[in-house]
Amino acid sequence: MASVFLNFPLPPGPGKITMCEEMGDFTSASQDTAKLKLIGYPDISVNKDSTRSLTQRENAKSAFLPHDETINKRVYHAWLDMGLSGALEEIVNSSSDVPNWMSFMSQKLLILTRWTNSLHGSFFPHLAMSNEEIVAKFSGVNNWCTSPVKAFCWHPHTLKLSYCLQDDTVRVHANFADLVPSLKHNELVPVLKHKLQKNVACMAWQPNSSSILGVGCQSCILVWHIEPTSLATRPSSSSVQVLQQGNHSPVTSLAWSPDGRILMSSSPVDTAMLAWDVTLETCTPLRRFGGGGVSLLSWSPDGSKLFSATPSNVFRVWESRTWSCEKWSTSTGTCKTACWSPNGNILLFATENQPIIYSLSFSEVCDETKSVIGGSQTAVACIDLSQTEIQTADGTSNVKVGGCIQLMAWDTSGERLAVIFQDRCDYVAVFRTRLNLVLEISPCGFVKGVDGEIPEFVQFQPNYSKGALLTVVWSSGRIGYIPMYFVPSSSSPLSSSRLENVATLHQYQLGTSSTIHSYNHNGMYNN
Amino acid sequence: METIDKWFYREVMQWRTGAAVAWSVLVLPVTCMIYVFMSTLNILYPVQSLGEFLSRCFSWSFISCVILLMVVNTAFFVYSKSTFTVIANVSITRFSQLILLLKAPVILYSSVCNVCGIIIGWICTCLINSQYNGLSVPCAENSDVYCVNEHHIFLVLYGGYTGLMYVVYHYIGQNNVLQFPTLQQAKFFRVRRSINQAAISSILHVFWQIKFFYILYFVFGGIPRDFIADTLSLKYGPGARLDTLYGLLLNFGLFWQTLLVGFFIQFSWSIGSLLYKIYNTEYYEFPIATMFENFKNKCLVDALTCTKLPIVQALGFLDLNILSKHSFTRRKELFCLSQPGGHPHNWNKILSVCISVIQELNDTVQEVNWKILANAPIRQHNIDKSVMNGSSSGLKQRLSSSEDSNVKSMTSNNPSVKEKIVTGLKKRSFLSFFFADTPDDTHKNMFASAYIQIWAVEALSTLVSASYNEDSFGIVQMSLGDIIVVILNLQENIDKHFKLTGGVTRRIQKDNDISLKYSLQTSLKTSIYNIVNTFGRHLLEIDLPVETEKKLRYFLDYRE
Repeated sequence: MASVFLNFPLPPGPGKITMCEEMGDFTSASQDTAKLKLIGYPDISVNKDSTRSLTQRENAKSAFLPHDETINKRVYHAWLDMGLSGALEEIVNSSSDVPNWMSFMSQKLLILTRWTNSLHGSFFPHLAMSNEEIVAKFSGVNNWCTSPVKAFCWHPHTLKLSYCLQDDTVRVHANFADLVPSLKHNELVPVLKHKLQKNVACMAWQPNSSSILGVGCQSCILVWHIEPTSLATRPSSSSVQVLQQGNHSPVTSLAWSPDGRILMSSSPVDTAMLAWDVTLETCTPLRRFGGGGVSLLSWSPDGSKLFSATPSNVFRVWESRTWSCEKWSTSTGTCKTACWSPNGNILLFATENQPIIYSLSFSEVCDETKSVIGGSQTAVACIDLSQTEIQTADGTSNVKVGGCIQLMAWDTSGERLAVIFQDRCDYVAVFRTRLNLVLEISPCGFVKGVDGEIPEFVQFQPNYSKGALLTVVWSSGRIGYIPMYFVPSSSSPLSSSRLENVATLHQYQLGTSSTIHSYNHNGMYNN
Repeated sequence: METIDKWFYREVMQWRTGAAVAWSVLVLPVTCMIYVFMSTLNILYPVQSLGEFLSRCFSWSFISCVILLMVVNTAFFVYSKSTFTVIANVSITRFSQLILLLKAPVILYSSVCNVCGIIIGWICTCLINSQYNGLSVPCAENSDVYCVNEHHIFLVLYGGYTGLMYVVYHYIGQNNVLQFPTLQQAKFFRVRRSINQAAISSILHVFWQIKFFYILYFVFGGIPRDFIADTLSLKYGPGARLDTLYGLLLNFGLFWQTLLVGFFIQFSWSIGSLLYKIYNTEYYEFPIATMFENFKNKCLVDALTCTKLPIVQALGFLDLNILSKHSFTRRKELFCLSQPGGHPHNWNKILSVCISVIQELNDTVQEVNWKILANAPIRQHNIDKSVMNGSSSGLKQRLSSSEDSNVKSMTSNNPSVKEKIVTGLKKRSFLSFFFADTPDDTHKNMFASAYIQIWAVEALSTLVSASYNEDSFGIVQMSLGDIIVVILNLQENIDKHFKLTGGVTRRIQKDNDISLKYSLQTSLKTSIYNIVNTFGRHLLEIDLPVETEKKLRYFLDYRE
């Protein structure tokens, strides 16, 4: 299988920036003259230096904070921060303050814990890593340690987005006043801060709600209730729920069920994934043998299936009725990213060290008395994305594109698929997908930012009316919006928003001012 | 024709209970072995104690003891099945908790527990078969004179005491409440997950109750011992007596054995109740409609209206909730028209049950809200002002005041002599322990069966959004207006109730209280948004009351 990039439209060259997709082609403009803003959307650009936290938390602490705390307090804090080995390390480091026998004992204990950890770690190497290393490895963001934005998330229903900066503050933008007049009241950008909000790896808005945001952190899950009508820019800690469970940290993946009733969380060091009832703050663990943890969760849009990847080469798909699961193993390492088709029949995934997108299809469940998942035996390799050198559109230079896949995003209509790569690559590769009886994937084009910008994270806005809107977090801290204007094909599942989209899109293309009043509405008022 | 509750009890519940009892009894040999292992454990001579353990396990006495234990526990579990309930009885004060324990069935149950505990305590002494076995022992080696075996009496009495304390665990710790799981996992996984929790809570409970037994025995322990010694004309042994501080507190071997006996009884009974709960809360599929004449009154809608056996109603609503989410074919059956006639009977029946159930709670909450409003505290010097302002300041004041202060100011408003005495008594620290309201409970009995409403609301909203694609006759759209009105009304009243009772706080105690009202509040919001997300602005084209439409607009703008 040859690399798909040989068939791609030529990428924009240096000095060019991709603006949008129109009539099937990406248009690019010179980056000096192009307007980087999209009308109605907030212009977000994170200043990298102002938000950078102290790079190494532990070292910085010992360098700057006065050591007038008692040894007990320091050990206690180290224990909270780093667990047992951290506490032992603190005792050994401050051997002058403690009795000789104690420092001796803790030194021996420290050696013992490290040895057992390494023994355990030889089976599951990720267990020997520090929290930050684990998050960096399993987070969806490309260079989590250096990226100006650590996590990014669109609200599933309304115009609202949140992102987390390097200093672990989360900002919520709902100021889309030009687009939606009813949001006029909301010009504020709430900043969410909490003392437990450290090493944020993931965020997820609750579906079927207006303003509940789950944030996966180093030691817990924080569920923020951001009152949409409130005027507070710094919501207090009374509007946050802390969901904590021993040994379930760091949390690297959160997934709300599409009906918004269950929050599923996972940690690469905990073999159980937890199904939270957020209201009661109780959880039900779901555990199966093998894998050494759960690194990635993804709920199918129809809510019937849940994908869970482990840090080893095993991944599972659960059905959400009786929570039984089927297991697949890949030959090439952990599953790095995965996404579902809108109807939940096809799962696309890519592994850590192979530049290939696989697809796994699931049959429709015919017999509902049994709980079946119906996944096919083997996954099919769909596209080869191995690194290729191709010429840019202006013909001046050659660029390298492709490589192992960092993250995939599929838009809610199932028409566009965006891919970013682990290796340094300035482009986001975008594919056209079509879900007739079989999945068709064809090249669409490359998206490029300002020179020197690398895509760190991509997500489609879930409810865009004119096609699809790709949101890219660039390494410069700029959040770019690339609209893709198209008419969704009729094969995609109908939803009310989709119907509206078709209507408004016609309007958009015809350029007329007449509004479209009526369209057949699936028997809604035909009684 | 047999009614659904009797049929369900005979055909489903008995089998489920039987399976639960069978499994919990089959586990007993394993628990016994663990018990014997722990009681013969000697850290100084591990090999020796292991050998002793093995020889004990294969002895005839062990096997006969286990069989006897199985018989006793089977009888106990079968008797216990009537003590379980679906609707939690939440006591407001500790005093009413005590009253709860004085009801006739509970007293009968505690005597059963007591007797079973004594028997199991006695079997335990047989199992370990050392100095704790037998009422009488030779006073000295090779002597004909027999002395009373106080250790034996101590353990057997403790068995009875543990049985009594299990009643407290069962009723006040709400072990008897069947809670339905959030995820419908297979039974094996539910058991595997809950067994640790059962063990931990048993250990904690035993540690909590054992100290009271030590005090009791220290004070009254002489009475049973002297009685037995008198009747059997036994002598007292040379060792220290157990009702002395020295003999009781420093006897670590005895303490260890006592703990083990307590843990053994508590754990094996917890396992029994755990299995009972898991088996009986498993979801059951009722038919939506049937062709068979003698099953005509055993359909889903009959289950939903069954009030004689609350668990049938609960399982019915659970089934409705599950079918709305997961079963395309059963939804289709629900959305179909009758043949001949073309009426949506299935849908109409189920809809009317759901709406009446929701409406019922709505009325109750509204009534309580009005009562609170009527009794609301208005300070004397504020009266004129609040009347002038259309009582808006009064409302504000109420919003900030919690239920607790409500009660206080109510009594201080027009204090009668009797109330003065009562408040005076309440202030005494000792009595306040018994009479103080445990927070958050005051109006909880109103929501004790709110899981029904939660499932009804969720099922309705899921069915409505599924109807968008699946309802080919448009029957759900006919009732869309009613559904929205009833759900929004309940949502508004619950919100009002929370504001009036100061219960908007998100801090929830985890200790064993079922905060169903919080779940209901969340579930209502989620359900409304589910409908809103499916139909969008088209909902406004339905004829809705002005108030409802106004409320709905907040949801359409995502401002709730």
